[in-house]
Formats: sequence, C-alpha cells, structure tokens
Amino acid sequence: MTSETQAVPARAIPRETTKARAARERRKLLRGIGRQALLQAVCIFIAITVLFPIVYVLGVALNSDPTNVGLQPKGLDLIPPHPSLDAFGKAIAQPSGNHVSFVTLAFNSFKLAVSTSLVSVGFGVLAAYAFSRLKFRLRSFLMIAVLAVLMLPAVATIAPLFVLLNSVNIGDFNLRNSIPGVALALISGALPFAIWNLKGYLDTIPKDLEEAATIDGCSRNQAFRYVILPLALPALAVTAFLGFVAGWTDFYFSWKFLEYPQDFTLSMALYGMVGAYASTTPWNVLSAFAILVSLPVSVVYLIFQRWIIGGLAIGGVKG
Amino acid sequence: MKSFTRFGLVAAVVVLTASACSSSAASPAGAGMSGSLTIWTAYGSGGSAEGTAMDAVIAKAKTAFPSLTIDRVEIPFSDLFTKVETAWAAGGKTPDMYIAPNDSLGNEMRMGILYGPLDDKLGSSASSFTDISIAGSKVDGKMYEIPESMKAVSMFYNKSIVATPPATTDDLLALAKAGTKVGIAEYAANYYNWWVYNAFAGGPIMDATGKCVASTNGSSDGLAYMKALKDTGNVTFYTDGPTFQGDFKTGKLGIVIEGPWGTGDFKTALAANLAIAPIPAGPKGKGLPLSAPDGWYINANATQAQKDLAVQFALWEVSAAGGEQIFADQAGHLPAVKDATVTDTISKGFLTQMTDSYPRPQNKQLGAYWSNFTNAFDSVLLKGTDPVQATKDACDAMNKANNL
Amino acid sequence: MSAPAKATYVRKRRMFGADARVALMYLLPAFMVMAIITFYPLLYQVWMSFTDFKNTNLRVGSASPDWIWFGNYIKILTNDIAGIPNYDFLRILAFNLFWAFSNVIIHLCLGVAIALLLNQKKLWFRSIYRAIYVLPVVIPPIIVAAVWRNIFDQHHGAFNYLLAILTRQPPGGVDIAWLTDPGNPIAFFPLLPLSYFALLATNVWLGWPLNSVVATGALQSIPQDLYEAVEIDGGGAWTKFKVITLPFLRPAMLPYAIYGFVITFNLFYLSYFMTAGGPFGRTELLVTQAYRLVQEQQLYGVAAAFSVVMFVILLVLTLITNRLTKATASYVD
Repeated sequence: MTSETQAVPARAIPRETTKARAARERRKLLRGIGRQALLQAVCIFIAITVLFPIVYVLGVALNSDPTNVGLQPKGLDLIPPHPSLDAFGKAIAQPSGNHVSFVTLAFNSFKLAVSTSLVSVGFGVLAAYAFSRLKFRLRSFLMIAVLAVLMLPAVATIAPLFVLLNSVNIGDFNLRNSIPGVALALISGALPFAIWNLKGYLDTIPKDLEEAATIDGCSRNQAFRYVILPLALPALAVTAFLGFVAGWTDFYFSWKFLEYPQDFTLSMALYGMVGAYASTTPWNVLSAFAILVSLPVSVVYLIFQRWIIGGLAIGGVKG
Repeated sequence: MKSFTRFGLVAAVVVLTASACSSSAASPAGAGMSGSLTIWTAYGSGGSAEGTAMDAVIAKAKTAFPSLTIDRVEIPFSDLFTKVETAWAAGGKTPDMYIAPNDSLGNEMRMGILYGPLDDKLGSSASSFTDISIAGSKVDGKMYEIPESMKAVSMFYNKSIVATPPATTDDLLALAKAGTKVGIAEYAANYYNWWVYNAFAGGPIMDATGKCVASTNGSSDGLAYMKALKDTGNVTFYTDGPTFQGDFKTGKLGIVIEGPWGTGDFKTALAANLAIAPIPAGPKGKGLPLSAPDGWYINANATQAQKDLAVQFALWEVSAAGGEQIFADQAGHLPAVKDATVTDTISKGFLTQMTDSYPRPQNKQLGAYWSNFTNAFDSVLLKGTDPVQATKDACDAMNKANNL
Repeated sequence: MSAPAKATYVRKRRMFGADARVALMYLLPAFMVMAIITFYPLLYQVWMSFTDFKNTNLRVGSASPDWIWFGNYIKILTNDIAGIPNYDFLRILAFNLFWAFSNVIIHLCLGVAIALLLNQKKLWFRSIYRAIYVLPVVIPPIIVAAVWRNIFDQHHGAFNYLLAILTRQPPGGVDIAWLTDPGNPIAFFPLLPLSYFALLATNVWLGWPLNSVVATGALQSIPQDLYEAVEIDGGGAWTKFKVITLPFLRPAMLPYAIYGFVITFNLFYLSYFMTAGGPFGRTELLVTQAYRLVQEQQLYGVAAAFSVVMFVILLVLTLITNRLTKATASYVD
C-alpha cells in the first residue's frame, strides 16, 4: 500500500552515476531480496503452524483403514494412507450413541444459536442505545449491573438456572428439560454481553449525524432506526455472530439440562466422543464430526469477515 | 450385603452352574406388554459387543411385543449416574428405567428416587434369580434393582504369550520382570484394583461399620506391590479404556485384569488364544475383586402403569427366554437368572472368579472410598508418593467425610 | 452549524436528555428479560449459597434446604469438600490467574508482532497470509479442544510423532504424556504441570490471530507521514516503533487485551475437554470447578457459594477493568 512512495523509477537516476553507484544499487536489490526471503520464511513458518492442525484433522478424517478399528494414526500422515469419505458418512448418519442424525443435532444447535443471537442483539441494541445516547437517573448504576453480570461466566449461573427453570412445568412440559429452557439460560449471559459490546460501538458513532437527522425533523425513534442502526451494522454483525457461536457450541447447559435424545445438540454428541471413558469412537469419525461442526461457523465468519472485524473494536476506542 | 456370606456366594454359583443345563418350563415373563418405555444405557456407541447385544435384545422385544416401543438412550458411563440422579431428583418422568452396575444403588435408594422395594413385584420370576444376584440388589434387606448379570474383574491372558498364568502376586511380578507385558487399569483404579488390598491385607479397606482401616491393616503393601509392578518397566497403567483393551486385542499385552464386558471383543480379536484365570493370590489372602450385579433401576416418579410396565420389561429382559441369553452369548454376561446357559470357557472362568469375590457394600461410607483411593493409587503410581502415606491420607479423608 | 440550528439542537437535546420515558422504552425489553433470567437467578444463587441445597431439593414442592450460614464458604476456602481430593482453592485461583495472564501476554506480543510483519513494505503474498492466519478464529473452542486433545495424545498424537521425526526416532519413539504427566517441568515453579504447556500451546494457536486482526486495524489507521517525519529526523525502526506505532496501538489493544483476559480467565472448554483438569486437578480453572461441583458432585449449595466467590473475584477484576476502559462513561457526557 505504500509502494508508490518507494518506487522511485530507476531511470530517474542520472546517467552520470558511475559503476560504484550501480553496484550499490545491486547490493540494495540483493539486500531487498534477502529481506524478502527472510520475511517469506517467517510468514511461511507461521502459516505452517496455523495450518498444521487443520490439515492434520482433515487427514485423520479422510483416513479409513478397515484393519484399524480405532483409526488411531500410526504416524504423522498428513496425506491419509487409506483415503475415504466413510467417516463423514458415519458422522452424518449417527454421530452419537443414539439414533439421532447429524441433521437433528445440528437443527437443535441451530435453534439455540439463532434464538440466542436474535434475542440478545434485538433487545441488546435498544438498551445499548439508551445507555449510549440518553441521560437518565440510575444509568451508571444499571450499566454497572450489566457489566458485573457480564464478568460472571455463564457456567457459574448453572445451579440457580437449573432450579428455577425446573420449577416451570406446564403439563408434561418441563421448561428446564427443553430447547427453549436452554436458550433462556444462554440468553441470560448473552444479553448483558450484547448490551456492553453494542454500547461500546455506538459510543464511537459521531453524534452529529443523529443531530442532523433530528434537525431534519426525525424523531428520536426515527433517528435510531434510520441513522444509528445502519451505522451499527458491523457491531450488530459481530454480536450476532458471537451469540450464534455461543448457542451453536453450548455444552454445559445442554448437557446438564436436556434428557430427550431428540433435543440433543452437537456439543453433547461431541462430549460422548471425547468424555472420560472415551467410548469407542474412531478417530476419523471424531475428526469428521469436528469438521462438520465448525464448518457453518467458519462459513458465516468468512462471509461476514469484513463487518465482524470492524465491529470488534471491543469496548469502543473513543476517537 | 451384610447378611450374606461367602458361603452363600459359593452355594449360589454352584446352583447357577448346576442349573445351567436344565431348562425352565415357566411361562415367559412380560407376556403381552404394550406401551412405550424410555431406557438409558451406557454400553458404548455401536461397535462394542455389549451395545450390539442390547440392540439385539431390543429388536427381539419389538418382534415379540409389536405394540411396545422402546426408546433407548445411550449416555456416557462417566455421566450415567449423575444424569439419572439429576433427572429423577428433579421430578423427571424420563427415563422410565436404566441399566447399570449397582454403584449408586444405596445412594439412590436413600435419595428416594428408585421404585421399590421390588421384592413382592417379581411374581413367578422371583425364584429364577440366583441368590448372589438377589443379595447384590438389596439395600437394608430390600430389593431396589432387578439384577441382570453379575460382574467382577478377573485375569485374562493371551495363550500365545503366557503359557502358565500366574497363581500368586509373586508369580505375576516374576513374569513381568522376565518380560511379559501386563496391563493394569489406572482409570477407575479404585474399582479395578480393589483386589490388591485384600491380597496384601487379608481383608477389605473398611470394617463392618464403614470405617476405613486400610492405614492399619497393611493395605499400603498392595499399593507398594503395584509400584513394584510398574518399576519392572513391563507393566503399563492405562488411563483410558480403548487403549487398554486395544493393546490386549492386538497382542501387545500378555495379561490384563478386566471384566466380562471385555469378553466379547477380546474373543473376536484373539479367538482360541484368549484364556482366563483367577486373579493372583497375595501373601495375606486371595485377590478378591468387587462383585456386583448390573441391573435395572426404575423411576419412582413414573405413573403406576409405567412402573408396572418397566418391571415387566425388566423381568422379560433378564429372563433366558427374553433377552438374557443374547447378552450371555454375545457379550459374555454372567446371567442373574438360573436358566440362562453359560457354555463359554471364559464366562465359566468368571463364574469361578465370582466365588472368590467381595460383594460390593451398599453402605453410605463406601461413597467416600472412590475418589480418595483413586487419588492414593494415582499418587503412588504416577507421582511416586510413599504408599504408607498415600493410604493414610486417603483413609483419613474417607473417615473425615464419613464423620468417623 | 448555524446559530439558530444550534439553539434548536440544544433545546431538543435537553428535552431528550431529560426524558427518562424514552430511556425506559428502550431499556424495558432487555431489562425485563434480564430481571427474570439474569438478575433473579443471581440473587437466588446468593440465597442458595447459604443453604445445604442438594439434589433432593430440586423437586418442585420438596422441603426447603437447611440454612447453614457460611458453611459452604468455609468448606470452599478451607479446602474441605468431600469427594474432590485434589481441591485446593488458592492453587486453583493462582493457576487461573497465571493462566489468563500468560496467555494474554503471549497473545498480545504475537498478535502485534505478526501484524507488524504483515505490515512490512513490499511483502509478497500479503493477502494470502492474512487469509490463512485468520483461520483459527473461525473454529469454535470446543472443537479446538477435542481436536488438540488427540494431537497431544500420548500414544497416537501428532505432536509426539512430530517430535519423533525431529529427533530421528521411529513413530512411537517419543511418548510424552502431555496431558497426564504429573511431573513439574519447571522444578522451582510447581504450579505448572506439563499439561499447562499443552493447553497454552493450544490457546496460543487459538488466540493470537484475533489480536493480530485488531492490531492490523490499528496499524492501518496510523498516518504514514508520521513515519516519514521520524525518518527525516533520522530515527530508525526502533524509534518509529516506540514513538509512533506503540502509542497508536495502545488505545486499540488495551480494551481488547482486557476482554481477552476475561475470556481466557473463564475459558471452560480447553481445560474441561483436553485435560479434564488433570493431572491431579492442577489445570482446573474456577469455571470448570464450578461446573464439576454442580454436575459431578451435585453439591448445589456449595456450587452456588463457589459461584458467589467467583463473582467477588471477577468483580474486583471488573472494577480494575472498568477504571481502565471507562466503559460506563457514555458519549453524551
């Protein structure tokens, strides 16, 4: 990006510059090449460390040796010695010990992900707006309450949430033992986070824009809707994304709360594969499952990458 | 458990083997079941002999009782008890029943989440159970479990590697020193290695009142022996089951101490080379492993109709005509009912071991044994803690937890 | 802005600023939800923490648990929880703090260093590297934990195989028990077992790319003429870094570092899924211990008290954080 300032055309150098100068140029060029080689070496090394686990997992997932039941790798094979898509088929058909397909598990995780994401962003952005733009009594108090809650990890609220959600029974329906119950437990932690994160971003949006809109006759609500919301899109995207990931990969609430296999989630199946008694899950199926679980998140991330990175000015650097 | 003695055990096994060949003429249990049941199991996800046998039993039930639907939910064993206890203690109606060893029988009965006593619910099936399995299903003299099979660990060996199985702990040590590879479970160490305390102390780690006496009765010599085994360099202490079983199946190990749940898979892998022998005896006594029945536990929260259906299904499943012969044939289970036949030499070996076993106590105090003695075992084996000190610490912690 | 317009604005602003009704309307949905599922459970948790709440108290309509005052707190702080032999509150807290600090420092240094590297003039394939380096960010931590658990497997793990290749041994020649070895690799600092380093390696892999992304954003906002000014003054690369880069990075990285600290402090998945807190509970974090108290031990009262203690610890961290970021200050101030 800075090449224009650097690229002084060689022709501009006067003819009179002697051999000595040409030699210096050559040395400079060589030094440039040396520097580039060094940079490339470092960059490639870093790329290898980043890519190694990913390529390795792919290799394990694609390996399917019928003579090796557990499919434990026998050496560092990045290229599978017995390539096959067999493991992906198994991971999709029945990833856990139960007769629940990957699709069912994924749909349950998806329900958790979407509800956590939508509710926390939808309600969160309203509250964040109030905290960022409005003056009212108790503002500091309420904001500190939100911040304090936010610091406590969701796991640490599992005991009271279990007891309270368990006390809601409608006929045979027990709120705790249901997807909506787990979603509520997730929102309990995701909503304060959304408020905090969105407020930080809204603080960085110049107020002049809103003022201009107000002068043009917009009401406060209209200014929020037509000026603030569009400008806050990156922050909305990143908050929604983080909420989505929290729901998609939730383990502790689902595992503690849910009992019907038709409600089970991806993380619960994963736990069945790596839990204390490590079961009999072959390595290739576990790896294939891991890839399948991370794929949607990765795709969503890569699509919205630009916004997400922009919105990650966490806590809002006031400029 | 307190009411029954080793003589009872021996007698029961004699009856079990004697009656193995006579067939029962009683009408099959569970006739005409209908409805739906949710059952929780921890037999591993597909591929394991036990899991496959369970599938076969359920398939058989579906054929025999077309109007009965069974929803089997597989839960990892490490979480089975906590998940069941949480679900039932919270008032949940699911699952209707689950099958497991009697680890938590006493505890769950005291929590009030088990349907029972079941003594008068067995009907005509009552006489079909072995005494040993009935005794292991009782807490304070009352049944809260319908026993399915008996379980205890014993010593498997690979005939192509070990010619004569070791009869004593000294023999085992000598074999290991001479180069025979041996596998010992480091995971669930407290359960797998209960025998070593008896072999070196001549008695269990706690007395009749539940007080831990391991620090004074020489139990620490058992841990010292384990350390000596490890120091030979040929004895591996496994931290996970699949590797443990896998190494024996692939012939990397000559000897493992493992339960009947391994039989099915071992037979497939080693065929005629698989053999079994009693756990070696120590200087102070036989190496008695813990023995206990696996069985069905029924949800106390369920409606009476569901409870009755669950009892009916359990009685059908444990009967030879129902599901138990499948478990005996395919998964090496040692049936709790007298009329299921055991023909296999490995299973017969387990029956012999059962006569030299220690029935798992159901008192509250044993609850503090597990984590504390696993820790003692791990400390000695992995960290090199002095066995005497580790045993004393574990014993003190156990007695403190029990206010003794 | 013209004077009359400004006057209008000031009038309007005052009206809005004073109008608590508007604020109420915006706050109500979120706070109604949080009152029920966030604040009430937390207050309920405080009540639970003073009782001997057990699993037998879960059932609707069951007897209330006994009030035991500070019994649970005493158990937690005096390491007197039956059933968890390796429980040591201060060790867990010390490890947890060390875990969070060491991670964040490494994340920050690597993140900034690699951002600087990618910002080098005339670097070839810059965009390809950027695309590759962001990959760990897109993989959920629970998956990373499950996969790296296999990578550090003692018998079949890729890491040991890699070491075997590097030390010219046959596969299986290196069998370091990364996740379970009870030894102390640093003899004078026994807080850290080998599994800490396995966890650290995993979390560094997972953590630096996002730091790098944030740092890159900050670097790109630095006006190039500032560097040229330093060059004219005869300043070298180090002067440029110290005088320009660092001051520009600091405000961008600081909030992110604090956020990263809290996230790492409470990182459940790596410890729970990779080492299960082992060996001997030495990589247990406060979060994983809290979960074990509820899920494995079913000690709801103790778990509630444990969470309250965690809350106090985190509150102290929050207050420090808050001073640093001034997050409660709003734009209208």
